[in-house]
Amino acid sequence: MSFAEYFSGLDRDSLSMQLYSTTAADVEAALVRPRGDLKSLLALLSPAAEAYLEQMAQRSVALTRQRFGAALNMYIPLYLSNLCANECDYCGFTMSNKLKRKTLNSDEINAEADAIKRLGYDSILLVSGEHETKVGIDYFLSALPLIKPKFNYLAMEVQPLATDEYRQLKQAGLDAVMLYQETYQPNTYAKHHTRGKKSDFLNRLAAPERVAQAGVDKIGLGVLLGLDDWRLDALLMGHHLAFLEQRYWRSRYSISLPRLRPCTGGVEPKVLLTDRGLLQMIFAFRLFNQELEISLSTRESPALRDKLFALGVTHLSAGSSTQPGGYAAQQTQLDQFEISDDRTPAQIAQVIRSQGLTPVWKDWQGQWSN
Amino acid sequence: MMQDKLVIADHSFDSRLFTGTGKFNSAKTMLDSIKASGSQLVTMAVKRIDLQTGSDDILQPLVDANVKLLPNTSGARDAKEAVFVAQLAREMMQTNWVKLEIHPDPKYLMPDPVETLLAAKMLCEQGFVVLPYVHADPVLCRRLEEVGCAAVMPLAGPIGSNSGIQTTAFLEMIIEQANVPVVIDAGIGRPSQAALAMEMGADAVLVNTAIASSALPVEMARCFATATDCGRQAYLAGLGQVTKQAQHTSPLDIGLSQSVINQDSSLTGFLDDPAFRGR
Amino acid sequence: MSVSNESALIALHVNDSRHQVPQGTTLSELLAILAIDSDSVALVSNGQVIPKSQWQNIACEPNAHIELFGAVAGG
Repeated sequence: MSFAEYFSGLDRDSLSMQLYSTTAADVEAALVRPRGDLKSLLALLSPAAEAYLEQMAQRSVALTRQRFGAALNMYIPLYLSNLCANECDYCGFTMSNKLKRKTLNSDEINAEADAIKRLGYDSILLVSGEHETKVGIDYFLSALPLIKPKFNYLAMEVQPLATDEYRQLKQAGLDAVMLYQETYQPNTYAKHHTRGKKSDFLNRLAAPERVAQAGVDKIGLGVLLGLDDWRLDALLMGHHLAFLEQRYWRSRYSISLPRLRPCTGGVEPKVLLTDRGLLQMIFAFRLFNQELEISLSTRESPALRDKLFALGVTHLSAGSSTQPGGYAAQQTQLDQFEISDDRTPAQIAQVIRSQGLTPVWKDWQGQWSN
Repeated sequence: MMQDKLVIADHSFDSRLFTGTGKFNSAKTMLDSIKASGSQLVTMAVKRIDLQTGSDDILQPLVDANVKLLPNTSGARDAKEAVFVAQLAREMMQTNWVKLEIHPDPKYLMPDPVETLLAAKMLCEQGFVVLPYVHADPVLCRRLEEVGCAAVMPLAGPIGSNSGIQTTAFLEMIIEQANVPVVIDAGIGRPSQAALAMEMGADAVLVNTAIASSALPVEMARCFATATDCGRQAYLAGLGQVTKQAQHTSPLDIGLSQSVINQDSSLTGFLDDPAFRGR
Repeated sequence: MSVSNESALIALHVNDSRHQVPQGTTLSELLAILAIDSDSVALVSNGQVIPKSQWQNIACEPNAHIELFGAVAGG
């Protein structure tokens, strides 16, 4: 069974009803279950679970420490290109947005990589818009050999590719792929993705499986919280996660929790995700899956990020630029989204250490396969 | 009572207690015990016939008792021999089900993981329904599933030891990760241990020595049937979490609880702080 | 010494003991001669597992090593 088949068998309306009719007793039953499962995830994502936030927090911290120790893994995004052939109304790179488009050439890639190395990073996330012809597999295969020698861990967040293309990239040093469904509600998805290949909901839904079949080490899922009801989207992402992990056991998994932010364009969230809700999501997923990596970007304010470091997050970026060429030379107009936390990596590392946690820059050594 | 059938390959079982035919003091005791256990899947071995003395035909009475036969490959020391025995058994009993067991170590009868995986792959390709007996190795069980095994049979303890469940942590991993039924085999010595195995979430248990070596095998078989069913029902009902701290089952007095909560140790209290400048 | 074909005997090894049977004896007939119920055995001839459905059609080969297996109690 493919995930698309599994997904079509889910009754989303029923799941939504269950979320909103969850009782305190259901939440308490979920909290005492020794290991998380989809049933307990549903209960812990429900409105009824908000009253148990402190208890969930205590358990989330304990489980995270047990599995990850005090480590917080540092990574940084490198935007290769903001060229995009999709129309997505929440994103600064959307096709119709009149901003200066840039794709880095080899010299510029090297300059960016070197600038990033000076910040102390060893784990990098390559990001691009989605442009099949100009920034496709050939471009990526030429970029990786420039970048991988300088970084031990290399992730990519680009358009969905074919299984064989992921295999080729893996040969070239690819360690992880981040591929966010944005929303698991097809109708809402269609409203926000109106043109280009990304408007194909099912193609995107099937992509993480292709990554897994290619044997990539880490697969990252995510939803853009606010496009639709975040509780249901989070739950469906949980289903996606469970499906993949059950079948593709040689890979590890991560989730990202981007909340809708103002960008050049502006889209209002359909359902507001408060700070309380964001915490609930982190805790619910930590209790659902102790091994899951939970990633926090610079979209959130410094005050909130500082609180979240200890509560269940395992990976975070700092000193990020969301524009191609943004490390070597500052520019203003090209951002994908507004960054809220613009503290430097050194500043953030200091905050992390002051909380008794450890910022980890290198967590990987490719020895035999690269 | 809701249907809770166990499905392995194309066959559906009502009973989650599988039994073996070994070590009974007589064929009659063996057959009576199996009937008392309610078992619907029974294992037996394959050996060269002694032409002089012949042997009891154990097969026909089992077939008459409507029990499914599961020949094992014990005696095989490597994959090649195991495949050979499986082919023999298939011809003899007209079943393509086989319990794959390869233990070259005659002292502890530990299963050989390498030969087992090799044999499983060959046998699955030849159309057998393979139930491999292995150590409680989660990765090995994944690999066996990948080559097409219909179930996995990780051990609780050494064969014939009545040792109880020694491999709990690993059985839990296997049960959590398996996409095929998990049958806990070898080492279960008491009905309570069969219940425990089922409470862990195993799909079935296989018991032989504990029944056969009992003073009253037929009675013991009945006890195992009850225990297996009980453990399964408890698992389905949902077991409570073991906690080190007491957890109140009655609500705390509201006034008391508020004074007991220490603001400084709260992880989420900052959300209510008007001075917090989050979003 | 000449012996007619119908009465010619061939030698066989069955589970390591020597037997003599008339040439042309089928595997099914061999089992009957040995008083073994064909339902409960498997037969191997010169290292090959012979399908039960073939026993009526296959004649014993001279000097064949035949092995008969049965089910026995085991876990």
